Amino acid sequence: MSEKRIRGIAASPGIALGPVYRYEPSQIKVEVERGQDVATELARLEAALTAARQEIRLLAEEAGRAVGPKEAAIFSAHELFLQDPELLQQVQERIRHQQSAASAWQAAFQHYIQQLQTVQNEYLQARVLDLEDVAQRVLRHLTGQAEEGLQLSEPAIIVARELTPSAIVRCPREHVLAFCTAQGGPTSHVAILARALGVPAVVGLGDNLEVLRPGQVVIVDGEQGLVIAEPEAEALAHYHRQTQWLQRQANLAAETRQQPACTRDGRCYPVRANIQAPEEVADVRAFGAEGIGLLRTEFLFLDRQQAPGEEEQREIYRTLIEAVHPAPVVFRTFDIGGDKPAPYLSLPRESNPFLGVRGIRLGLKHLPLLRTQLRALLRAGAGHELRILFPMVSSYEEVEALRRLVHEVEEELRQQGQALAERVELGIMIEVPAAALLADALAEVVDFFSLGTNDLTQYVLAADRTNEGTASLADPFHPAILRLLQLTIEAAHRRQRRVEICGELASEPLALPLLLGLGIDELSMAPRAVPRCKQAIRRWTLSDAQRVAQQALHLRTAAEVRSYLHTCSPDESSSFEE
Amino acid sequence: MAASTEVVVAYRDGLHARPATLLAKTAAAFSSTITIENLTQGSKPVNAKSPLTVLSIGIQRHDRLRIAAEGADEQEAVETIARLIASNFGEAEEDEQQEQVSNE
Repeated sequence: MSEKRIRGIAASPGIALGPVYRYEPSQIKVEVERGQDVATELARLEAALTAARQEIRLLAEEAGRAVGPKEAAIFSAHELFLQDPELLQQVQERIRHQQSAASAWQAAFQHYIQQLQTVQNEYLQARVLDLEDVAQRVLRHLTGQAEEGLQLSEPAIIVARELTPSAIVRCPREHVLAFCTAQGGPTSHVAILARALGVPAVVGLGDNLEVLRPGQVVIVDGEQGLVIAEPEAEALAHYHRQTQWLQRQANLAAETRQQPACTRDGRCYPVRANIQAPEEVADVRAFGAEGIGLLRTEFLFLDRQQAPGEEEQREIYRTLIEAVHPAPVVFRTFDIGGDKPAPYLSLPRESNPFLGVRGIRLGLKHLPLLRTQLRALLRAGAGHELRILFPMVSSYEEVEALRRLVHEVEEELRQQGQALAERVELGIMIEVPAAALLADALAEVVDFFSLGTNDLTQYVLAADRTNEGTASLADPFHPAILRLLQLTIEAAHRRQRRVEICGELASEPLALPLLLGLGIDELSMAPRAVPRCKQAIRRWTLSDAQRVAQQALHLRTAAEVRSYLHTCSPDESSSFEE
Repeated sequence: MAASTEVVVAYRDGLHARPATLLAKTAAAFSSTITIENLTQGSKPVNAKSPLTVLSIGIQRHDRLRIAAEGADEQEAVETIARLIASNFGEAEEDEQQEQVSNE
């Protein structure tokens, strides 16, 4: 026998080694059959629905305990499917036409499953699994079959064509080492639930999954989306070291999250949190973030019939400033566009909202709205330093207009005798390629840049990352992006301007040497990602990172950049030999 | 008399299980007959009180829907459902960062 490597989609991080357990529950299928008398079949249906409902409620409770209320919400949806008035009417209708309850249920439910299968949307299609879960549950009760759960007596790697949410929630957590499925993508239930459970998972393995035999020892690498069957001594030793190392790093990251993030040669970096709702402010301190590097103020502007008033805004901003003081808050002015509902603006529908009136373009069109936000911010910052960040800037004139506006508002507030921020720093998002290319000119008129690598990547590569067909093109490791980042950072530094990064790239350990090496000054990310990032910073020296970044800039493809970074990350080399 | 209105879906991933059931649940609280029609995909009006139907007709981001109701509380029904859709089903739209994964 020889080692076999099969590739899938990395769905939940971590690495596991263990024997394969094949989970192949049989699908119940009933023939179209005549029932007994109508009253008996209706009573059967009622009993099966009641039993299924009780099971689902129990599952919801178990899921709530195991993975938290957000993921458990899926079972509330399952319960509502059981009570669907249209479905029940159709089932009863079929029973009245002499069908058995089981065959009536199957036929009526199948209609919805087939309809959903034709939808051209991967995310919605993945919900077929929910419908099948519910349909099978009731069929089991109607045909008197017991639930085939995962019967594990020892730790194993669960290998299945697909896994329903209930199978995952019911699995004995202490024995599950990893999940591998043929189907599913990064947004499937198995991916979401595995992450919530902290279990490594590789999905989308397709028919290659069939090479994994029961009892066979395999390695599941949820970091790289790789499954290795019958691993040879070398692979085993490698993965053994890596597992231990990942565990050590995770422990270390958690333990040291409140300490500063300094490279081995002594350069320290503020690592801050991206926040989009005031409730999240508790996470900022908890995960060791040094203040808020990006506050998305949209939460105040969406989902409501009237724009928020100055006083309402001021209070919320003030609370946030005080909550993280003396660390700063970077307030990004509202980034609303035609794709986000703000009924009071009655925005026209745009055929391409990403290239439409959004961010500061909208702010400059609806001046009273922006003016009110600036008044609220300047007042909230009284006695403090205030940082304001403007989204979607693409020209010098926009920045000039914004600066004028801020000065006007400051002047107005002073005349009204209002207390305002002691020092105001104005920054712009670098997310439109034009702004990156014009960075030297823009650096004259702002205090800092914040790199929005998600949108920048989409715009530079002309690829929508929410579109299945182009998502793989929207790779921030593309050398074109790296060169643009280099250009931007160098232009900023020539004018002694600070450069922050608040895009997802900031939280990718693989990208860290690039970012440090290119000269990033501050990083901001989802609070949960902060401890790991800080720990990753501590493993590098700035001079090593600079060498890595220079090398990467000369590569031709995103794939080359990624594989180069894999070879030089300290995860794989020096620290392994510690 | 009947009431109707049109609304565009901004919800990122389309109407999956949670928003679909929430919409149906909201509709079910009214006595009027309520239908939902996907103008973008050119589908027929369907029963808005059926979560399975609302899910399985595959409503996607940017689709334009017509909500129509007929009955004693038709006006309120249409407004409430349109508001629910316009409010993104009570979830904040995440424009910058999808769910973050960490090995915490």
